[in-house]
Amino acid sequence: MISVPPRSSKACCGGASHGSTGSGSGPGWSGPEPGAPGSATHSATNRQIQLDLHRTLTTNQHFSSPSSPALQQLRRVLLAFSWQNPAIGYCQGLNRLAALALLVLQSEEEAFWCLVAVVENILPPDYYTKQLLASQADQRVLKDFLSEKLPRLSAHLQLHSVDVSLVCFNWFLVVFVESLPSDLLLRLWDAFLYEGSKVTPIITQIGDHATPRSLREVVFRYALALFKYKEEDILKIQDGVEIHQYLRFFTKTITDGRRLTSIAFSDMNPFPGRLLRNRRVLHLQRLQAELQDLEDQQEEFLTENLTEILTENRRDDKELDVSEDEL
Amino acid sequence: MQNNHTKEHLFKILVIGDLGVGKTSIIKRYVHQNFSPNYRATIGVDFALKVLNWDQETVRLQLWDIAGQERFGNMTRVYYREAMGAFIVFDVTRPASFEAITKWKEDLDSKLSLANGKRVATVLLANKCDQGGDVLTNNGIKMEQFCQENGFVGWYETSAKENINIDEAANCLVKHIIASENDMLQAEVPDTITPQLENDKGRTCSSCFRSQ
Repeated sequence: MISVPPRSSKACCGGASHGSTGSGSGPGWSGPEPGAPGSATHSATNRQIQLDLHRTLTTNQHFSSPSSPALQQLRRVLLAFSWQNPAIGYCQGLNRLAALALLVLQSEEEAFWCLVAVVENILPPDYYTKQLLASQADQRVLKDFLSEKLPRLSAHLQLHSVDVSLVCFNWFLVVFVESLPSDLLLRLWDAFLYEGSKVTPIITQIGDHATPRSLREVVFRYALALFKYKEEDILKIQDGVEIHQYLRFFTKTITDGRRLTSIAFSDMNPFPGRLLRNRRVLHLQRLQAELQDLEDQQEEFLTENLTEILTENRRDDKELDVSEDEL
Repeated sequence: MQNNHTKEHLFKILVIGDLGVGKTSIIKRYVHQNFSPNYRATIGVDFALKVLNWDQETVRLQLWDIAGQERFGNMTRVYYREAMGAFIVFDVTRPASFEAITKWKEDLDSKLSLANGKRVATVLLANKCDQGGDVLTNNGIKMEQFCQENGFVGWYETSAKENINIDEAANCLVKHIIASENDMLQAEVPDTITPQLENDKGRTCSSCFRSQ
Protein backbone atom coordinates (compact mmCIF):
# COMPACT_ATOMS: atom_id res chain seq x y z
CA MET A 1 0.00 0.00 0.00
CA ILE A 2 1.46 3.34 -1.01
CA SER A 3 1.29 5.69 1.94
CA VAL A 4 0.63 9.41 1.99
CA PRO A 5 3.57 10.93 0.18
CA PRO A 6 6.25 12.77 2.07
CA ARG A 7 6.48 16.42 1.11
CA SER A 8 9.86 15.97 -0.45
CA SER A 9 8.52 13.57 -3.08
CA LYS A 10 5.91 16.05 -4.09
CA ALA A 11 8.40 18.88 -4.19
CA CYS A 12 10.80 16.81 -6.28
CA CYS A 13 8.24 15.54 -8.75
CA GLY A 14 6.84 19.02 -9.04
CA GLY A 15 10.31 20.42 -9.57
CA ALA A 16 11.08 17.87 -12.23
CA SER A 17 7.83 18.52 -14.00
CA HIS A 18 8.18 22.27 -14.07
CA GLY A 19 11.72 21.94 -15.24
CA SER A 20 10.56 19.96 -18.20
CA THR A 21 7.64 22.12 -19.21
CA GLY A 22 8.30 23.37 -22.65
CA SER A 23 11.32 21.13 -23.20
CA GLY A 24 9.25 18.29 -24.70
CA SER A 25 8.67 18.17 -28.40
CA GLY A 26 5.13 16.82 -28.27
CA PRO A 27 1.80 18.60 -27.98
CA GLY A 28 1.89 18.57 -24.18
CA TRP A 29 -1.03 18.22 -21.83
CA SER A 30 -4.27 18.56 -23.70
CA GLY A 31 -6.61 17.09 -21.15
CA PRO A 32 -8.98 14.29 -21.99
CA GLU A 33 -9.62 15.30 -25.61
CA PRO A 34 -8.06 12.94 -28.13
CA GLY A 35 -5.22 14.44 -30.10
CA ALA A 36 -4.61 11.93 -32.85
CA PRO A 37 -7.70 9.80 -33.17
CA GLY A 38 -8.54 7.42 -35.93
CA SER A 39 -5.16 5.92 -36.76
CA ALA A 40 -4.58 2.19 -36.29
CA THR A 41 -1.63 2.77 -33.98
CA HIS A 42 -3.74 5.12 -31.96
CA SER A 43 -6.48 2.58 -31.38
CA ALA A 44 -3.99 -0.21 -30.61
CA THR A 45 -2.33 2.04 -28.04
CA ASN A 46 -5.70 2.95 -26.63
CA ARG A 47 -6.63 -0.71 -26.25
CA GLN A 48 -3.35 -1.65 -24.61
CA ILE A 49 -3.69 1.17 -22.10
CA GLN A 50 -7.26 0.13 -21.39
CA LEU A 51 -6.16 -3.46 -20.76
CA ASP A 52 -3.51 -2.37 -18.26
CA LEU A 53 -5.60 0.08 -16.23
CA HIS A 54 -7.03 -2.43 -13.78
CA ARG A 55 -3.67 -4.23 -13.69
CA THR A 56 -1.78 -1.29 -12.20
CA LEU A 57 -0.91 -0.85 -8.49
CA THR A 58 -3.52 -3.50 -7.80
CA THR A 59 -2.86 -3.54 -4.08
CA ASN A 60 -3.46 0.19 -3.72
CA GLN A 61 -6.94 1.24 -2.64
CA HIS A 62 -7.09 4.06 -5.19
CA PHE A 63 -6.49 1.70 -8.06
CA SER A 64 -7.96 -1.60 -6.91
CA SER A 65 -11.63 -0.78 -7.54
CA PRO A 66 -12.78 -0.94 -11.20
CA SER A 67 -14.98 2.12 -10.66
CA SER A 68 -12.27 4.24 -9.07
CA PRO A 69 -11.80 7.65 -10.76
CA ALA A 70 -8.03 7.10 -10.49
CA LEU A 71 -8.25 4.54 -13.31
CA GLN A 72 -9.73 7.09 -15.70
CA GLN A 73 -7.12 9.65 -14.64
CA LEU A 74 -4.45 7.07 -15.33
CA ARG A 75 -5.96 6.35 -18.75
CA ARG A 76 -5.91 10.03 -19.69
CA VAL A 77 -2.35 10.56 -18.49
CA LEU A 78 -1.08 7.56 -20.45
CA LEU A 79 -3.05 8.48 -23.54
CA ALA A 80 -1.80 12.06 -23.42
CA PHE A 81 1.72 10.75 -23.02
CA SER A 82 1.34 8.54 -26.09
CA TRP A 83 0.51 11.63 -28.15
CA GLN A 84 3.23 13.67 -26.49
CA ASN A 85 5.80 11.04 -27.40
CA PRO A 86 4.63 8.98 -30.40
CA ALA A 87 8.03 7.26 -30.70
CA ILE A 88 7.22 5.54 -27.41
CA GLY A 89 3.45 5.58 -27.54
CA TYR A 90 2.55 3.26 -24.72
CA CYS A 91 5.06 0.87 -23.18
CA GLN A 92 3.99 -1.46 -20.39
CA GLY A 93 5.64 -0.17 -17.24
CA LEU A 94 4.73 3.45 -17.90
CA ASN A 95 1.40 2.61 -16.26
CA ARG A 96 3.17 2.11 -12.95
CA LEU A 97 5.23 5.31 -13.25
CA ALA A 98 2.13 7.33 -14.10
CA ALA A 99 0.15 5.76 -11.26
CA LEU A 100 2.84 6.62 -8.72
CA ALA A 101 2.97 10.19 -10.02
CA LEU A 102 -0.83 10.46 -9.73
CA LEU A 103 -0.76 9.20 -6.15
CA VAL A 104 1.97 11.56 -5.07
CA LEU A 105 1.02 14.68 -7.02
CA GLN A 106 -2.74 14.18 -6.98
CA SER A 107 -3.18 16.14 -10.19
CA GLU A 108 -3.53 14.69 -13.66
CA GLU A 109 -1.60 17.45 -15.36
CA GLU A 110 1.22 17.40 -12.82
CA ALA A 111 1.39 13.62 -13.10
CA PHE A 112 1.56 13.90 -16.87
CA TRP A 113 4.47 16.34 -16.75
CA CYS A 114 6.21 14.22 -14.14
CA LEU A 115 5.95 11.21 -16.47
CA VAL A 116 7.30 13.31 -19.33
CA ALA A 117 10.19 14.53 -17.17
CA VAL A 118 11.12 11.04 -15.97
CA VAL A 119 10.96 9.45 -19.41
CA GLU A 120 12.30 12.26 -21.57
CA ASN A 121 14.79 13.92 -19.26
CA ILE A 122 15.84 11.64 -16.44
CA LEU A 123 15.99 8.22 -18.05
CA PRO A 124 18.21 7.81 -21.10
CA PRO A 125 16.75 8.01 -24.61
CA ASP A 126 15.41 4.77 -26.10
CA TYR A 127 14.44 3.34 -22.72
CA TYR A 128 10.85 2.62 -23.71
CA THR A 129 10.95 2.85 -27.50
CA LYS A 130 10.06 -0.09 -29.73
CA GLN A 131 13.33 -1.96 -29.28
CA LEU A 132 13.94 -1.08 -25.62
CA LEU A 133 17.59 -0.75 -26.55
CA ALA A 134 18.78 1.41 -23.68
CA SER A 135 16.95 -0.78 -21.16
CA GLN A 136 18.68 -3.84 -22.51
CA ALA A 137 22.04 -2.10 -22.49
CA ASP A 138 21.54 -1.11 -18.84
CA GLN A 139 21.14 -4.77 -17.92
CA ARG A 140 24.52 -5.59 -19.39
CA VAL A 141 26.04 -2.65 -17.57
CA LEU A 142 24.46 -3.92 -14.36
CA LYS A 143 25.97 -7.38 -14.88
CA ASP A 144 29.40 -5.80 -15.34
CA PHE A 145 29.04 -3.89 -12.09
CA LEU A 146 27.67 -6.93 -10.28
CA SER A 147 30.74 -8.95 -11.16
CA GLU A 148 32.99 -6.14 -9.96
CA LYS A 149 31.15 -5.14 -6.79
CA LEU A 150 29.86 -8.60 -5.77
CA PRO A 151 32.18 -11.12 -7.43
CA ARG A 152 31.23 -14.03 -5.17
CA LEU A 153 27.52 -13.61 -5.87
CA SER A 154 28.10 -13.06 -9.55
CA ALA A 155 30.07 -16.32 -9.79
CA HIS A 156 27.39 -18.16 -7.83
CA LEU A 157 24.66 -16.96 -10.19
CA GLN A 158 26.75 -17.87 -13.19
CA LEU A 159 27.40 -21.35 -11.80
CA HIS A 160 23.64 -21.92 -11.59
CA SER A 161 22.95 -20.30 -14.96
CA VAL A 162 20.89 -17.52 -13.45
CA ASP A 163 20.62 -14.41 -15.58
CA VAL A 164 19.87 -11.51 -13.23
CA SER A 165 18.66 -9.34 -16.07
CA LEU A 166 15.53 -11.49 -16.25
CA VAL A 167 14.59 -10.03 -12.88
CA CYS A 168 16.31 -6.65 -12.94
CA PHE A 169 15.07 -5.54 -16.35
CA ASN A 170 11.72 -5.13 -14.66
CA TRP A 171 13.13 -3.08 -11.75
CA PHE A 172 14.80 -0.62 -14.08
CA LEU A 173 11.89 -0.21 -16.48
CA VAL A 174 9.47 0.70 -13.70
CA VAL A 175 12.09 2.32 -11.43
CA PHE A 176 11.13 -0.23 -8.76
CA VAL A 177 7.41 0.67 -8.61
CA GLU A 178 5.67 -2.45 -7.27
CA SER A 179 9.06 -4.12 -6.80
CA LEU A 180 9.81 -2.63 -3.39
CA PRO A 181 7.73 -2.02 -0.25
CA SER A 182 6.23 1.46 -0.59
CA ASP A 183 8.26 3.18 2.12
CA LEU A 184 11.47 1.99 0.49
CA LEU A 185 10.13 2.86 -2.92
CA LEU A 186 9.41 6.46 -1.97
CA ARG A 187 12.82 6.76 -0.34
CA LEU A 188 14.40 5.52 -3.55
CA TRP A 189 12.31 7.87 -5.67
CA ASP A 190 13.33 10.76 -3.46
CA ALA A 191 16.92 9.85 -4.15
CA PHE A 192 16.15 9.22 -7.82
CA LEU A 193 14.63 12.67 -8.25
CA TYR A 194 16.51 14.62 -5.60
CA GLU A 195 19.92 13.10 -4.78
CA GLY A 196 20.99 13.54 -8.34
CA SER A 197 20.01 17.14 -8.19
CA LYS A 198 22.47 17.68 -5.35
CA VAL A 199 25.26 16.93 -7.79
CA THR A 200 23.85 19.02 -10.61
CA PRO A 201 20.64 20.96 -10.01
CA ILE A 202 17.87 19.21 -11.88
CA ILE A 203 15.77 22.28 -12.61
CA THR A 204 18.42 24.43 -14.19
CA GLN A 205 20.34 21.78 -16.02
CA ILE A 206 17.72 19.56 -17.52
CA GLY A 207 18.86 18.54 -20.94
CA ASP A 208 22.48 18.65 -19.83
CA HIS A 209 23.94 15.18 -20.24
CA ALA A 210 25.61 15.34 -16.85
CA THR A 211 22.26 15.40 -15.06
CA PRO A 212 20.70 12.17 -16.27
CA ARG A 213 23.94 10.38 -15.53
CA SER A 214 23.90 11.09 -11.83
CA LEU A 215 20.20 10.31 -11.56
CA ARG A 216 20.56 7.04 -13.38
CA GLU A 217 23.37 6.10 -11.06
CA VAL A 218 20.85 5.94 -8.19
CA VAL A 219 18.98 3.08 -9.86
CA PHE A 220 22.20 1.11 -10.35
CA ARG A 221 23.31 1.77 -6.78
CA TYR A 222 20.01 0.51 -5.38
CA ALA A 223 19.91 -2.54 -7.63
CA LEU A 224 23.38 -3.57 -6.48
CA ALA A 225 22.53 -2.72 -2.88
CA LEU A 226 19.53 -5.07 -3.01
CA PHE A 227 21.80 -7.93 -4.02
CA LYS A 228 24.35 -6.99 -1.39
CA TYR A 229 21.65 -6.82 1.29
CA LYS A 230 20.56 -10.41 0.61
CA GLU A 231 23.87 -11.76 -0.70
CA GLU A 232 24.32 -14.41 2.01
CA ASP A 233 20.77 -15.73 1.52
CA ILE A 234 21.23 -16.07 -2.24
CA LEU A 235 24.61 -17.77 -1.80
CA LYS A 236 22.94 -20.47 0.28
CA ILE A 237 20.57 -21.52 -2.51
CA GLN A 238 22.15 -24.24 -4.63
CA ASP A 239 19.57 -24.65 -7.38
CA GLY A 240 19.03 -22.39 -10.38
CA VAL A 241 15.25 -22.71 -10.41
CA GLU A 242 15.05 -21.98 -6.69
CA ILE A 243 17.26 -18.92 -7.13
CA HIS A 244 14.88 -17.62 -9.80
CA GLN A 245 11.96 -18.15 -7.45
CA TYR A 246 13.80 -16.31 -4.69
CA LEU A 247 14.84 -13.37 -6.85
CA ARG A 248 11.33 -12.70 -8.11
CA PHE A 249 10.08 -11.61 -4.69
CA PHE A 250 13.03 -10.97 -2.37
CA THR A 251 12.97 -7.20 -2.86
CA LYS A 252 9.61 -7.12 -1.08
CA THR A 253 11.09 -8.75 2.02
CA ILE A 254 13.58 -5.97 2.64
CA THR A 255 12.61 -4.00 5.71
CA ASP A 256 15.56 -1.87 6.74
CA GLY A 257 15.46 1.06 4.36
CA ARG A 258 18.21 2.90 6.15
CA ARG A 259 20.56 -0.02 5.76
CA LEU A 260 19.69 -0.41 2.08
CA THR A 261 20.34 3.28 1.43
CA SER A 262 23.59 3.10 3.33
CA ILE A 263 24.74 0.14 1.24
CA ALA A 264 23.71 1.95 -1.94
CA PHE A 265 25.54 5.16 -1.16
CA SER A 266 28.58 4.05 0.81
CA ASP A 267 29.30 0.33 0.32
CA MET A 268 28.95 0.71 -3.44
CA ASN A 269 31.57 3.46 -3.63
CA PRO A 270 33.52 4.25 -5.68
CA PHE A 271 30.98 4.52 -8.46
CA PRO A 272 32.43 6.74 -11.15
CA GLY A 273 29.77 8.19 -13.41
CA ARG A 274 32.17 8.24 -16.33
CA LEU A 275 32.63 4.48 -16.11
CA LEU A 276 28.88 4.00 -16.13
CA ARG A 277 28.58 6.23 -19.18
CA ASN A 278 31.36 4.46 -21.06
CA ARG A 279 29.97 1.02 -20.33
CA ARG A 280 26.58 2.07 -21.54
CA VAL A 281 27.97 3.36 -24.82
CA LEU A 282 29.94 0.15 -25.31
CA HIS A 283 26.97 -2.13 -24.62
CA LEU A 284 24.64 -0.05 -26.76
CA GLN A 285 27.00 -0.46 -29.69
CA ARG A 286 27.29 -4.20 -29.15
CA LEU A 287 23.53 -4.57 -28.84
CA GLN A 288 22.95 -2.68 -32.06
CA ALA A 289 25.40 -4.94 -33.88
CA GLU A 290 23.74 -8.07 -32.45
CA LEU A 291 20.31 -6.83 -33.40
CA GLN A 292 21.48 -6.31 -36.95
CA ASP A 293 22.79 -9.89 -37.04
CA LEU A 294 19.50 -11.20 -35.69
CA GLU A 295 17.51 -9.30 -38.26
CA ASP A 296 19.65 -10.83 -40.99
CA GLN A 297 19.10 -14.31 -39.56
CA GLN A 298 15.39 -13.75 -39.26
CA GLU A 299 15.23 -12.72 -42.87
CA GLU A 300 17.19 -15.82 -43.84
CA PHE A 301 14.76 -18.01 -41.88
CA LEU A 302 11.79 -16.44 -43.60
CA THR A 303 13.37 -16.77 -47.05
CA GLU A 304 14.17 -20.42 -46.36
CA ASN A 305 10.61 -21.06 -45.28
CA LEU A 306 9.32 -19.38 -48.38
CA THR A 307 11.63 -21.40 -50.61
CA GLU A 308 10.45 -24.58 -48.88
CA ILE A 309 6.83 -23.69 -49.50
CA LEU A 310 7.54 -22.79 -53.12
CA THR A 311 9.44 -26.05 -53.73
CA GLU A 312 6.60 -27.98 -52.15
CA ASN A 313 4.07 -26.22 -54.34
CA ARG A 314 6.15 -26.92 -57.41
CA ARG A 315 6.35 -30.59 -56.43
CA ASP A 316 2.60 -30.66 -55.98
CA ASP A 317 2.19 -29.07 -59.39
CA LYS A 318 4.45 -31.67 -60.96
CA GLU A 319 2.58 -34.52 -59.32
CA LEU A 320 -0.59 -32.98 -60.58
CA ASP A 321 0.91 -32.79 -64.06
CA VAL A 322 1.94 -36.45 -63.88
CA SER A 323 -1.45 -37.61 -62.76
CA GLU A 324 -3.06 -35.55 -65.48
CA ASP A 325 -0.70 -37.17 -68.01
CA GLU A 326 -1.69 -40.56 -66.72
CA LEU A 327 -5.27 -39.71 -67.28
CA MET B 1 20.68 -44.38 -19.41
CA GLN B 2 18.18 -46.47 -17.47
CA ASN B 3 15.35 -44.62 -15.82
CA ASN B 4 15.22 -45.06 -12.11
CA HIS B 5 12.70 -44.04 -9.50
CA THR B 6 14.63 -41.04 -8.30
CA LYS B 7 14.90 -39.49 -11.72
CA GLU B 8 13.82 -35.88 -11.80
CA HIS B 9 12.88 -33.92 -14.88
CA LEU B 10 13.09 -30.16 -15.17
CA PHE B 11 11.19 -28.66 -18.06
CA LYS B 12 11.16 -25.02 -18.97
CA ILE B 13 7.78 -24.06 -20.38
CA LEU B 14 6.95 -20.78 -22.07
CA VAL B 15 3.59 -19.08 -21.80
CA ILE B 16 3.18 -16.55 -24.59
CA GLY B 17 0.43 -14.64 -26.36
CA ASP B 18 -0.95 -11.12 -26.68
CA LEU B 19 -1.28 -8.64 -23.87
CA GLY B 20 -4.12 -9.33 -21.45
CA VAL B 21 -5.18 -12.76 -22.74
CA GLY B 22 -4.74 -14.30 -19.29
CA LYS B 23 -1.27 -15.85 -19.29
CA THR B 24 -0.56 -14.88 -15.69
CA SER B 25 -4.04 -16.01 -14.58
CA ILE B 26 -3.57 -19.41 -16.19
CA ILE B 27 -0.24 -19.85 -14.42
CA LYS B 28 -1.62 -18.71 -11.05
CA ARG B 29 -4.55 -21.09 -11.43
CA TYR B 30 -2.28 -23.98 -12.36
CA VAL B 31 0.34 -23.38 -9.68
CA HIS B 32 -1.59 -21.78 -6.80
CA GLN B 33 -5.13 -22.99 -7.57
CA ASN B 34 -6.60 -19.52 -7.30
CA PHE B 35 -7.81 -16.66 -9.46
CA SER B 36 -7.96 -12.90 -9.15
CA PRO B 37 -9.48 -10.56 -11.76
CA ASN B 38 -6.62 -8.12 -11.37
CA TYR B 39 -3.15 -9.53 -11.49
CA ARG B 40 -0.73 -6.77 -12.35
CA ALA B 41 0.48 -6.56 -15.92
CA THR B 42 3.65 -8.59 -16.43
CA ILE B 43 6.71 -6.57 -17.37
CA GLY B 44 9.48 -8.52 -19.06
CA VAL B 45 9.15 -11.98 -17.60
CA ASP B 46 8.00 -13.70 -14.42
CA PHE B 47 8.52 -17.26 -13.16
CA ALA B 48 6.50 -19.93 -11.44
CA LEU B 49 7.32 -23.46 -10.41
CA LYS B 50 5.00 -26.46 -10.46
CA VAL B 51 6.04 -29.88 -9.23
CA LEU B 52 4.24 -32.95 -10.59
CA ASN B 53 4.41 -36.66 -9.95
CA TRP B 54 4.52 -38.33 -13.31
CA ASP B 55 4.78 -42.14 -13.57
CA GLN B 56 6.68 -42.28 -10.27
CA GLU B 57 9.04 -39.62 -11.43
CA THR B 58 9.20 -36.02 -10.33
CA VAL B 59 8.61 -33.43 -12.97
CA ARG B 60 9.46 -29.82 -12.18
CA LEU B 61 7.91 -27.33 -14.55
CA GLN B 62 9.45 -23.90 -14.64
CA LEU B 63 6.78 -21.72 -16.23
CA TRP B 64 7.98 -18.55 -17.93
CA ASP B 65 5.27 -15.92 -17.97
CA ILE B 66 6.32 -13.62 -20.80
CA ALA B 67 5.01 -10.07 -21.23
CA GLY B 68 2.59 -9.82 -24.13
CA GLN B 69 3.45 -6.41 -25.50
CA GLU B 70 5.09 -6.60 -28.88
CA ARG B 71 8.10 -4.48 -27.98
CA PHE B 72 9.23 -7.02 -25.40
CA GLY B 73 9.54 -9.39 -28.37
CA ASN B 74 13.07 -8.15 -28.78
CA MET B 75 14.05 -10.05 -25.71
CA THR B 76 12.13 -13.23 -26.42
CA ARG B 77 15.22 -14.87 -27.89
CA VAL B 78 16.77 -14.80 -24.42
CA TYR B 79 13.52 -15.89 -22.77
CA TYR B 80 12.95 -18.82 -25.15
CA ARG B 81 16.40 -20.34 -24.68
CA GLU B 82 16.36 -24.03 -23.71
CA ALA B 83 12.60 -24.21 -23.35
CA MET B 84 11.07 -27.66 -23.91
CA GLY B 85 7.48 -26.68 -24.50
CA ALA B 86 5.11 -23.76 -24.83
CA PHE B 87 1.57 -22.60 -24.38
CA ILE B 88 0.34 -19.99 -26.80
CA VAL B 89 -2.69 -18.25 -25.38
CA PHE B 90 -5.44 -16.15 -26.92
CA ASP B 91 -8.61 -14.58 -25.57
CA VAL B 92 -11.78 -15.99 -27.16
CA THR B 93 -13.49 -12.64 -26.73
CA ARG B 94 -10.81 -10.76 -28.69
CA PRO B 95 -10.41 -11.83 -32.34
CA ALA B 96 -7.17 -9.83 -32.70
CA SER B 97 -5.53 -12.00 -30.07
CA PHE B 98 -6.40 -15.08 -32.12
CA GLU B 99 -5.02 -13.51 -35.28
CA ALA B 100 -1.75 -12.95 -33.42
CA ILE B 101 -1.36 -16.69 -32.74
CA THR B 102 0.46 -17.43 -35.99
CA LYS B 103 2.79 -14.51 -35.36
CA TRP B 104 3.66 -15.90 -31.92
CA LYS B 105 4.15 -19.40 -33.33
CA GLU B 106 6.47 -18.10 -36.03
CA ASP B 107 8.43 -16.09 -33.50
CA LEU B 108 8.81 -19.19 -31.35
CA ASP B 109 9.83 -21.53 -34.17
CA SER B 110 12.29 -19.06 -35.65
CA LYS B 111 14.08 -18.62 -32.33
CA LEU B 112 13.84 -22.02 -30.68
CA SER B 113 14.21 -25.67 -31.58
CA LEU B 114 15.07 -28.86 -29.70
CA ALA B 115 18.55 -30.37 -29.73
CA ASN B 116 17.45 -32.65 -32.60
CA GLY B 117 16.28 -29.68 -34.64
CA LYS B 118 12.60 -30.40 -34.12
CA ARG B 119 10.12 -27.79 -32.97
CA VAL B 120 9.19 -27.68 -29.31
CA ALA B 121 5.79 -29.08 -28.33
CA THR B 122 3.25 -26.28 -28.29
CA VAL B 123 -0.33 -26.32 -27.02
CA LEU B 124 -2.85 -23.67 -28.02
CA LEU B 125 -5.10 -22.29 -25.29
CA ALA B 126 -8.41 -20.56 -26.09
CA ASN B 127 -8.77 -18.77 -22.78
CA LYS B 128 -11.70 -17.00 -21.12
CA CYS B 129 -14.07 -19.62 -22.55
CA ASP B 130 -16.42 -18.87 -19.66
CA GLN B 131 -17.14 -15.56 -21.42
CA GLY B 132 -18.24 -17.20 -24.67
CA GLY B 133 -16.42 -18.62 -27.66
CA ASP B 134 -17.65 -16.22 -30.30
CA VAL B 135 -14.28 -15.90 -31.98
CA LEU B 136 -14.19 -19.61 -32.64
CA THR B 137 -17.78 -20.25 -33.66
CA ASN B 138 -18.52 -17.09 -35.62
CA ASN B 139 -15.52 -17.48 -37.85
CA GLY B 140 -16.17 -21.16 -38.51
CA ILE B 141 -12.60 -21.93 -37.60
CA LYS B 142 -11.85 -25.63 -37.57
CA MET B 143 -9.47 -25.77 -34.65
CA GLU B 144 -8.14 -29.27 -35.29
CA GLN B 145 -7.18 -28.30 -38.79
CA PHE B 146 -5.76 -25.00 -37.61
CA CYS B 147 -3.59 -26.82 -35.06
CA GLN B 148 -2.35 -29.30 -37.61
CA GLU B 149 -1.50 -26.63 -40.15
CA ASN B 150 0.27 -24.51 -37.59
CA GLY B 151 2.14 -27.22 -35.74
CA PHE B 152 0.30 -27.31 -32.42
CA VAL B 153 0.19 -30.66 -30.64
CA GLY B 154 -3.24 -29.84 -29.23
CA TRP B 155 -5.66 -27.14 -28.17
CA TYR B 156 -7.97 -26.53 -25.23
CA GLU B 157 -10.74 -24.15 -24.39
CA THR B 158 -9.67 -22.90 -21.00
CA SER B 159 -10.88 -20.65 -18.25
CA ALA B 160 -8.47 -19.66 -15.53
CA LYS B 161 -11.41 -18.07 -13.73
CA GLU B 162 -13.59 -21.18 -13.69
CA ASN B 163 -10.71 -23.64 -13.64
CA ILE B 164 -11.59 -25.29 -16.91
CA ASN B 165 -9.09 -27.51 -18.74
CA ILE B 166 -5.95 -25.98 -17.25
CA ASP B 167 -4.65 -29.24 -15.76
CA GLU B 168 -5.69 -31.16 -18.88
CA ALA B 169 -3.79 -28.78 -21.14
CA ALA B 170 -0.71 -28.95 -18.94
CA ASN B 171 -0.81 -32.75 -18.88
CA CYS B 172 -1.07 -32.82 -22.65
CA LEU B 173 1.97 -30.59 -22.97
CA VAL B 174 4.01 -32.58 -20.45
CA LYS B 175 3.10 -35.83 -22.22
CA HIS B 176 4.39 -34.45 -25.52
CA ILE B 177 7.53 -33.04 -23.92
CA ILE B 178 8.37 -36.39 -22.36
CA ALA B 179 7.68 -38.14 -25.66
CA SER B 180 9.96 -35.77 -27.54
CA GLU B 181 12.62 -36.17 -24.86
CA ASN B 182 12.45 -39.96 -25.22
CA ASP B 183 12.62 -39.53 -28.99
CA MET B 184 15.80 -37.57 -28.63
CA LEU B 185 17.35 -40.07 -26.25
CA GLN B 186 16.55 -42.99 -28.53
CA ALA B 187 17.77 -41.16 -31.59
CA GLU B 188 21.02 -40.36 -29.83
CA VAL B 189 21.78 -43.92 -28.80
CA PRO B 190 22.87 -45.34 -32.17
CA ASP B 191 24.95 -42.25 -32.85
CA THR B 192 26.79 -42.17 -29.59
CA ILE B 193 27.12 -45.77 -28.44
CA THR B 194 28.32 -48.36 -30.86
CA PRO B 195 27.73 -52.07 -30.06
CA GLN B 196 31.47 -52.72 -30.02
CA LEU B 197 32.00 -50.62 -26.96
CA GLU B 198 31.94 -52.41 -23.60
CA ASN B 199 30.12 -49.65 -21.82
CA ASP B 200 28.94 -46.08 -21.95
CA LYS B 201 32.39 -44.63 -21.45
CA GLY B 202 32.86 -44.00 -25.13
CA ARG B 203 30.06 -41.50 -25.19
CA THR B 204 31.52 -38.18 -26.18
CA CYS B 205 28.47 -36.17 -26.96
CA SER B 206 27.20 -35.71 -23.44
CA SER B 207 26.03 -32.22 -24.16
CA CYS B 208 23.30 -33.60 -26.38
CA PHE B 209 21.63 -35.03 -23.31
CA ARG B 210 19.62 -32.92 -21.02
CA SER B 211 21.42 -33.55 -17.79
CA GLN B 212 20.57 -30.39 -15.93
